[in-house]
Amino acid sequence: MNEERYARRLIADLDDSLKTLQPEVLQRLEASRERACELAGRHESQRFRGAGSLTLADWVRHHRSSVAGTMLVLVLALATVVWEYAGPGNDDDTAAVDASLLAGELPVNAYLDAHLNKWANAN
Amino acid sequence: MGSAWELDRFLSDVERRAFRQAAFAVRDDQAALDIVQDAMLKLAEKYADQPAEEWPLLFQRIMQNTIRDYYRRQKVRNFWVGALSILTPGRDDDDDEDPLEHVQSTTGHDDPVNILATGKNFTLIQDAIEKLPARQREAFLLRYWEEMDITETAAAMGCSEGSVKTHCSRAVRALAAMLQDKGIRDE
Repeated sequence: MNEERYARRLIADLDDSLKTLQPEVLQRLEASRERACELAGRHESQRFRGAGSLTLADWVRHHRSSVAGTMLVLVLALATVVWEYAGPGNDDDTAAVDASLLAGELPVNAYLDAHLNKWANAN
Repeated sequence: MGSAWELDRFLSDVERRAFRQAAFAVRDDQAALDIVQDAMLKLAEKYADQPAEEWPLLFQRIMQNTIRDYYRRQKVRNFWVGALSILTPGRDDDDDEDPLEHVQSTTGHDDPVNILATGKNFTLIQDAIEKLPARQREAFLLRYWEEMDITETAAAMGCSEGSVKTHCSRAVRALAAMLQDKGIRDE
């Protein structure tokens, strides 16, 4: 007996039987398929929603050293600016010169003098 | 990666065969429909993002596992039903009634209308396939009905390629013998 040929013959009969499935069975299969596709569609849309944040996270992961370097430079620049403008030394110098001006120890146009800084530091 | 539309096309292609396959295994149309539904939902939930060409194999594996789960549940249920029936008072052991007389066929293949509609050959083939041992039936249907090759069938069944060949050969010979007895001869 040729097993392959015999099996194919039986399968042809089985295939024919699929055309005569009862309508309620077909309806139930269709409903199950629709539910499955709906579920897959929900998962697909969730994946797309999460895609933006994943891309950003991936970019940060791949450029970790550059991101760290940039952050360090920014922090140092910020610290320098803060030190320049809010540092304690500048306030003291200006306050001492202002006090001397008010006390009449310095002329009114002292700020115009190129040697004022040297004098203030020496005092 | 497959889309929901591709999944719909794939499932509509396999659903009828999957139903028959499950019905051969569990001999109950409603249970077979539940099994197919479970398998479809599992595929959609866990493997919809896999490439579409991997779905046939995955779906078959899910189907086989779901059928096995059904057998396990039935076994547990039968155990408890048996245990409770012993404890139920008022049962007469000398009862001559044959319980099989009350069992109604749920597959409906002995229904004359169904026999006329589907053809006698199919009914006989269906009976013969249902009588095959589970692994032989599984191998026969995957190999010849789902048109999987030996490697794919082995992967779906979780066994070696040699076992698939043996199961298929034995299944075809057993079917031939059973159908010959019923008057369907190999031409």
